[in-house]
Amino acid sequence: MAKVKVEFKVNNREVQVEVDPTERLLDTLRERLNLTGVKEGCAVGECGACTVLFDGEAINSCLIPTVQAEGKEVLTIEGLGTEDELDPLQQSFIDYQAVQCGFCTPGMILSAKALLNKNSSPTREDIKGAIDGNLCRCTGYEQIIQAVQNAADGEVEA
Amino acid sequence: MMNKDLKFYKATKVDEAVKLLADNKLKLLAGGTDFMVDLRNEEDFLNGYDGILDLSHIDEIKKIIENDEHVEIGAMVTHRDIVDSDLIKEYYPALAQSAGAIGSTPIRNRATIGGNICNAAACADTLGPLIAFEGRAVLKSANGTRTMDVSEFVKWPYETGINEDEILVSFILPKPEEGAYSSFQKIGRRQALAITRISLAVKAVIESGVIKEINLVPGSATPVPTTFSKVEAEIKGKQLSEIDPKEIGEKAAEEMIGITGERWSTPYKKPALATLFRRAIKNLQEEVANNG
Repeated sequence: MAKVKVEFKVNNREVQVEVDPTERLLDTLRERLNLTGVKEGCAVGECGACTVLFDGEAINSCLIPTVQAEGKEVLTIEGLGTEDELDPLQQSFIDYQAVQCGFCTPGMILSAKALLNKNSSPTREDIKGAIDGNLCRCTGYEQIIQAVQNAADGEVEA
Repeated sequence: MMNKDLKFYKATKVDEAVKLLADNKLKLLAGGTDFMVDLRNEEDFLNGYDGILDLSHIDEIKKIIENDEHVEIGAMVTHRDIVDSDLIKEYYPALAQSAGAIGSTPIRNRATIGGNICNAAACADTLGPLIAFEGRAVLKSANGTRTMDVSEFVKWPYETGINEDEILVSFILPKPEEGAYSSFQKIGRRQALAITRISLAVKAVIESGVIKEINLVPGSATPVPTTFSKVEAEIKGKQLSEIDPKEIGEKAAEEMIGITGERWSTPYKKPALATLFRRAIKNLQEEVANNG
């Protein structure tokens, strides 16, 4: 198909790309913008490894054509925290050993970030609901839930 | 192979979209959650089309509007908007519950109700409630506007009554009567991300303990969700407390087999559907008893 110019913001930086209208946001982020923190797992919206924030909402970047990102703000794991200071969620995932193989972690953290941006003291159920689109095959989720609770208000249910 | 001459169009107004559709044969793109999967899985997905028309920038069909007699839900309203809408939760709880049962948080953030209905899977979760609430679909083309009962809109799995020059702009739902109840139940393999095995949407109007109106619409039980009119006729006009939920469950299972015949899935679906009906009637009895 004829290529289309798309302008949007990624991690607070204006970007401009020329893409085939069927190109997935996932591929644009990984291949053109080198943001390989975005992972490809299932490619059908079931695993959540490709989760990014799209105008602040968690979405599956494998299910969005890049053309729909026009004028939007995208946040990937690379845009969270700085080299010197991690985002509290990132630090909390380390502190609570919520990372094993790490493949689901960027998506998991971004889903949690979308939650905390709207709800600073989520319940355990709120957290489970927010990460319902993110599969983790290593941790059994418990440490992840605790890490999010800790990042939110420091009160962790054992 | 994909046609290299395919063009990408983006509309910001419905008028603009229908004009483009009058002159070109275009595949419509809404939230993308089905579109992008089908695009990769089906080689002929765009065969015969002149291009793609993106509807995601048309703000006028992303609204939920309340009028005196009905509520209009824009086709590009996301499942998440429905789950979050106080208006929908108040008037159409079964619809809010069905939207909340779809996919996962990231899917619901993006997938639209118009897309769910136009994709027209037999397991489309919002279809049953829209039929139970006697919703109408509003379709627009360059030649004008027409409406169609949602129950007539889906013809067969993945086939709808929409013409190639039309877009679905909204659903119009009559406001529920005084004393109306509704519920939605779904059975899937797991809570999140599971495709519905079988579901049931119920809307009922109860007056002094008597069932005045009842719509019972199972999903994934028949090729196209439909009201189970035999069971409805059986219980309409009766005292709710005198209805035997188990018997209704069995009759519903018979009605399903009357439509579909005995299929490979019948040994599973027969008891599953009977259970959903039994539960729905029981819940209704409890709810009415509790609310006096």
